[in-house]
Amino acid sequence: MATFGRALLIVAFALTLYGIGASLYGAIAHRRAWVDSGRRAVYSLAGVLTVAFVVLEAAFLRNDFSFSVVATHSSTTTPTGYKMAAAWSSQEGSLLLWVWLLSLWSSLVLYLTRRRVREIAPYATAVLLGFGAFFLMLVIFFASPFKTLANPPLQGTGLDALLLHPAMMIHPPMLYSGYTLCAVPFAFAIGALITRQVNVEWVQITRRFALGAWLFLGIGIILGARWSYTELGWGGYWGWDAVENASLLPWLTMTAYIHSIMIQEKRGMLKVWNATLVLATGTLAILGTFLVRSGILDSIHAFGASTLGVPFLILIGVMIVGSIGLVVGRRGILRSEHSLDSFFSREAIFIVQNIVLVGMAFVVFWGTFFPLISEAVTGTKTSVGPPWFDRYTVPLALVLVVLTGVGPLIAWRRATLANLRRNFVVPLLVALVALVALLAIGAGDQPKALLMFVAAAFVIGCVGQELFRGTRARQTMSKEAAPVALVSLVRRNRRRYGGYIAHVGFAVLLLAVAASSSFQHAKDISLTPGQSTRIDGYTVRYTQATAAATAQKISLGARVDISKAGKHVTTLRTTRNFYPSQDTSLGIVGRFFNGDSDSVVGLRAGVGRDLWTVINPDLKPLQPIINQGDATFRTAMTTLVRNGGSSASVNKLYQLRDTAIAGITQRFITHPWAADFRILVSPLASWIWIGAIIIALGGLIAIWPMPHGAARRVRAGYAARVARDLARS
Amino acid sequence: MEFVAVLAIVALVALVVIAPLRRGRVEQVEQRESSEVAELEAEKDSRYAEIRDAEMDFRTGKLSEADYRQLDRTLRGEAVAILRQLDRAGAGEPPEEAAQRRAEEYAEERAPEPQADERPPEHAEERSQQRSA
Repeated sequence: MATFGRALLIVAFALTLYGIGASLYGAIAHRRAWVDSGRRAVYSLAGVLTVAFVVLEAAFLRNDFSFSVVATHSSTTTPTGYKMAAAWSSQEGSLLLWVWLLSLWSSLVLYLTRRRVREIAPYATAVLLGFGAFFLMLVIFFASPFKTLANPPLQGTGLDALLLHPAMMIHPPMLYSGYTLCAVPFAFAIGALITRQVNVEWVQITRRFALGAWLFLGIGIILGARWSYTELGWGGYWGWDAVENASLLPWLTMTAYIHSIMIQEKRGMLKVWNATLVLATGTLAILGTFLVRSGILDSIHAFGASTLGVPFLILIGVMIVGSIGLVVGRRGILRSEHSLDSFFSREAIFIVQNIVLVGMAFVVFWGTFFPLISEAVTGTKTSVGPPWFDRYTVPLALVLVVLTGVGPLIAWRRATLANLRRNFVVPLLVALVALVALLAIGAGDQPKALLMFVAAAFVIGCVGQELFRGTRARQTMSKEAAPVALVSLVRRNRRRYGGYIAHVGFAVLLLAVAASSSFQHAKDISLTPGQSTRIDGYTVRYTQATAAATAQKISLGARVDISKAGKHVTTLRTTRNFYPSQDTSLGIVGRFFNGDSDSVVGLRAGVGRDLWTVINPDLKPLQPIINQGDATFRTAMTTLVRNGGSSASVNKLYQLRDTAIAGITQRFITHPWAADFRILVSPLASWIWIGAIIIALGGLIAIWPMPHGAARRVRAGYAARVARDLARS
Repeated sequence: MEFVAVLAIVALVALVVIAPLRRGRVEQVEQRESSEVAELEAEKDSRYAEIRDAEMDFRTGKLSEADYRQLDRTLRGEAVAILRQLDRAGAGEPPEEAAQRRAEEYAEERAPEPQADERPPEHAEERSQQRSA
């Protein structure tokens, strides 16, 4: 099957080259048949790569260790769900996933636009296939997922223990969907610039794909944060890690873009800015993939090797130079059709918001690449830590939250002072009430968090007022009951109210980040069973050690009771899992204790606060017994082999080893010693995930297509025709 | 077996990809909609969205009545100009579509007026204009 897979990749590569040629020839020679053929090459590419991906997944599912990638990223004991996810935990598989997703999204956009943007589409097709050709070149010549081993092992290495987490099964496909969707508006922007068709049509066509990219990237980022919170054992959800930042960068610029294109759609303004933003976003998406896969920056999840660095750098260089060249070359036709009517207008707020978002992206970019910059300038690799990022991003985030409230309250084109006064009274009152209440409960000693709470209250007040007024207006028009009117209002104005809902989610998320980071109580302590400690008014008692040994892992854990004022609150269970290593130098027994390990946190998530704990058992007390076991079994095995012992004798020896391991594991219960615990009380931490769900809901509403009622042509008096078209939609 | 499967896939892909080159019809069909029309349609959609947004802004108190009236007039004027350009650009309309359109126009113009209208009161004069048209 590996040969079949390799052949499919070559067919796919040939398809991309043919598609690029056919599309460009069709565009230049005005031969629609060739353009159509080029588009069909994309559909075929999606089909061929789907088969290739199925071949790879099948190899993982049937433990075919003749595939190198299966032998190094899976094992017979890996659970089925994780076997499927193991395909994209490898560099080779993830590159195949990238190009497969690209082919699917490209097919979708080209199918939907098959009768539109006729001049732009062939160039966009060529660009999308260009990306496809690049990634296929990587999986054919640099990192083939279909590489085979001459002597397949009986057992695979297994999946990295840290990746054994449900979020990790869908985090990479989400992130890669986001990255590949970024390529769609990028490709159409290139097409628009080449053909000088830079008005509003290509923006309208790719808007949903831009929103989709933003949505998928956001979901991917938040799943990564959730993984970090519940798997990595440090209690945080965001550590300004290079790979985290790599996914945040295109999300920030895409957020700016999906706002600023509204100005281009409505006023024909900001064409240079929008083209620059979307080209930068596409480039940052490739940069993100490069950071994960190249390993040039130290990261907890940079899984790649440096062999791919040069090809990626060439691609990124071509994208940057080409983008700048096109924007500069077309600056004449990218001139704005109008100018800003007033600084008190939604356009002006969007421009400020764009500046803040791009400023934030610049800060993240600078901090992420500072190690490389410092190495280039001083010869020493120096990193900036989370405090550096916080120093700049927190004030910018505060401004951003305020703007998400201000934007919806100001009309397009112009706003009068009287209207501003009328619209701002209620939200400002809500913010004031929040401020007084927070000061009363003593939140004043954390000024940044306090400001974020007040800003979030302001946003909730703004959007609440908008929904209330909109519903009331709808009720006046349609005589509907309030809930029905609210649903109708959102349904008929999906883009507007979907956006507002996302704004509320964003405010909630940042409020939760401020609360959980500023008012978090953390304690690192060593406890033996029966001992207890106090944190933020809670008594935390290590009641019982737990231990289990299976073929897949050894788990050492604890049961922890939490009480407050003598009243039982909850019982948390936390474990540290140790996965057997394939490295025989660690010893016959030792390899079961000294391989990869991960944490299962004890978490009680609540509306008000999360109670979180993780155990880190010290294995030192077991080490002498483990060493003794290694020596004993090594001697026994050597003797057996020298004397030509039967396989039954060897199996018996393995059974004895398993019994010994189970016995050693049980010592954690029978002879308990002190274990290290990290205990956290994080206020409002659950609202991070709730805020993210609200953002995703808003994004989905905004992305959902409107009924196509206005599409029909009606000829009548022109004014009446406009009115009828509007009444239909 | 693998060789046969690859061969079958290559043959299938070749059939799918080359099919348009063997048909002359595609070009004829696809040339009906010019890029100018598509661009104008996009402009029209934008202007309609802006008219709707202005109306929402007025209804939710972000625009005064005077500002709204002026803005709405401007936007509708722009939309009318786009429709005129669209009609000019659509001169090469195929005969069957033109006949269909004329039938639609006839039916639309004679259709009874809706009982309740969602537009703000200041459009009353436009409604009477529409009736007389």
